[in-house]
Amino acid sequence: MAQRFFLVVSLFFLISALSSAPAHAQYDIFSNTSSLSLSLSPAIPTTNSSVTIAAQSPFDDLRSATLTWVVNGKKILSGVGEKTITIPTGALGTKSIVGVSATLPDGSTAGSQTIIHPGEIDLLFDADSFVPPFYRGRALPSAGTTLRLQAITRFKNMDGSLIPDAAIDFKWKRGGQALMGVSGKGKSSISIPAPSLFSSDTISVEARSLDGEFSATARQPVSDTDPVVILYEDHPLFGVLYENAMGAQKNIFTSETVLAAVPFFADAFSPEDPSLQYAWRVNGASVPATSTKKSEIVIGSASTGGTASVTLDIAHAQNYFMNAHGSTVLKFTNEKAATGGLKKNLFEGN
Amino acid sequence: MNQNIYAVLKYVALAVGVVIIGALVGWFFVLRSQTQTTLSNDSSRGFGSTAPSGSENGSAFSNGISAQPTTPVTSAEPPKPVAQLWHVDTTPVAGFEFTSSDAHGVYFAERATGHLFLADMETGQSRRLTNTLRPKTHEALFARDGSVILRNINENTGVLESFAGTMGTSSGSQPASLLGNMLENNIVSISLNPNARSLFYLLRDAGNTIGILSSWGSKSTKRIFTSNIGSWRPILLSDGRVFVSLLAEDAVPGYAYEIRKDGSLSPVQRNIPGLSILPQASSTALLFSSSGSDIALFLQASSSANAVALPLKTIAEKCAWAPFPVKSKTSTSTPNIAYCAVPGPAKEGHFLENWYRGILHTSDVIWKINAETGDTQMIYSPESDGEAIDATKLATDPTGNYLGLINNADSSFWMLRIQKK
Repeated sequence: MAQRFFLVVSLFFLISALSSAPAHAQYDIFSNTSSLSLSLSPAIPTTNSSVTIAAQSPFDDLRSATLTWVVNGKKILSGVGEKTITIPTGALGTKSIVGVSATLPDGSTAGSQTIIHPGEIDLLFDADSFVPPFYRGRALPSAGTTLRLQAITRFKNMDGSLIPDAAIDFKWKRGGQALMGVSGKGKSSISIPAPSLFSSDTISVEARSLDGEFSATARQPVSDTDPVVILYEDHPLFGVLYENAMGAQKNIFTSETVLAAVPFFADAFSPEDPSLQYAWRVNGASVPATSTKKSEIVIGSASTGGTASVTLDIAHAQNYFMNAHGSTVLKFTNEKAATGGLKKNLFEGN
Repeated sequence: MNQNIYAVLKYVALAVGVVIIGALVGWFFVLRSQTQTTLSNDSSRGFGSTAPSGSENGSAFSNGISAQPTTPVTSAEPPKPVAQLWHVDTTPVAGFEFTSSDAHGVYFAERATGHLFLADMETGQSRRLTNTLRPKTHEALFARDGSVILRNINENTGVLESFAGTMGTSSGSQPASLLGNMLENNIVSISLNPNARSLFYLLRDAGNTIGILSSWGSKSTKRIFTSNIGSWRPILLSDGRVFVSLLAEDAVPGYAYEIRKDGSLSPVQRNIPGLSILPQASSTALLFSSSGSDIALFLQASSSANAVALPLKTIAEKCAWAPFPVKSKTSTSTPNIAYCAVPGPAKEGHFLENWYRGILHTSDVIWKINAETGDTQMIYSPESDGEAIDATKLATDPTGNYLGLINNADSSFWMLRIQKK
């Protein structure tokens, strides 16, 4: 009875003393007389998951000690050698105060406590590489472009309020190397060079509230993406038909067509970026672009038929690593359907 | 005496009339003969034939125009029963929206000209509403009253331009002018609340994406979102809720958030490869899809429900919600319904990037989803009517009887009557 009373009093004291301790830390209590500490796995727990808490002591043999675990004032587990427990972390805004006390065979006691206050963090990325207007997909990083990352944190207090980015310290790493220049208080968004050619990096971020109560971490592998050139028809009435790529081969039912090259993910702000260099070839012969756009050529068929094998190589004046290749075969035919000729002109492909 | 004079005058008048008619008949034959001769001469000189190409800019423009079957001001054909699947416009359209004033009406904008049309889904008739030319309109976003935002790329500067217009008054059934003003340049994307004429748009400014909630004509605006990421899709629902979703890419983690009134981002879905979402107005139901090695569609019946995988291999961008049913104590409960276009043959790997880039086109079948039970039912196959449709930009009308969609293969406009007559 006296032992239980002592245990309860000890836990109350510990909880009161360490109520603002962060979830990931390890604590020694009565550091002059005890060496009990707690470690968490994962070290930074996430919401709605589970966390394993282990009691450790470098001096005492806990296998023979009686350990009692209390979560939010409720005894969860007690027994000889019960050095670990696994508990659910709870949802955003919940707090779990976990305490343990150990009674050694010689009657001495020790205790420790930790607070699990799970937060969430999302790590988002895209790049400033080129994608055409109205493109529904994401701009991906290629060599020479800039990788943009944003960490969206949700550290929720018990009253439901969220901790703003300005009160959070962000530590960014690239492949394990700290990015000191872009890390710091409120630095939730960064822009860094994209991975170099054929390479991949893992970007990680650790966010910690300035009061130390919350922390969360996230990591994101990011690979270099090869720029891709897709050829489209630039129709005189409808503009570039982004919804209908030329493909490997296309039937053309007009005597001429205008081909437009779109360099997806290129290190450029537009297809007309001065840094981009185009080399168009039709049936093996170099051909000039139109007078107004270097990303477009006019292809005509002098007779009623014929095939034009079109290839395009794009290089970058400053970015030696960037190049892209596109090709298509256009089959000019004089056959026009009696009705729906436009649809055939525009959209029929093979 | 007077009678004799009257008789003479009558004969004279008759004779003059006969002479005039004879002269006119003779002049008609002379003119017809001359016209035939002129046409024959012109034809022999090549007039009317396609001009040969060879100039630097070519004659593709002429080719295109000569081949273009422009949409008539009004349908020439008399009203007739409209088939279950109706090809509303065979030429590329920039967008459409159902009307509020007419239960059977749908607005659409022609891509080539930017002209607005109104089609009647019951009669199959359509008529042109405006005569203001806005060439190469790539995107049209309508409010239910016919107000519209037309978007195009300035060919000289490459700038994305957005014009907010309303239809002017016209005499009779003649097309009217489209009156309005330009919005600020380089708006990356816009989502329009068709009921309230409010819009949520994203623009790039000083290296950041700025999300702005605006009334029509930008009379009042509020900045509600900022991110250094550029690849966002804005979503503004008719109930006023605002979402942003990271643009999807195959196998790349996607995130979507609701922007709360306090400005915080409340996650809708997190860390899902190739995520695209379709929230429903007036409910917390959600359709979302993933795209990694394969595509998959999920349903979350409400915010408190767990997401379940549906047995339909498609993406949320090929789906549309029916209007959320109004529940009452007296009427029979109507289920919450969504419709999805499901690609026929299984498409595996790189679906999104190939579809977004216009490399891949599908032939879809329309399925109905009961969002309360998760039951699915195939309701229509365009292939049964000899059509292959790669559906995108699907939307249902306010009655839930019609499903409009754009064929991604040629941007033509189709209407499906959901219930068979």
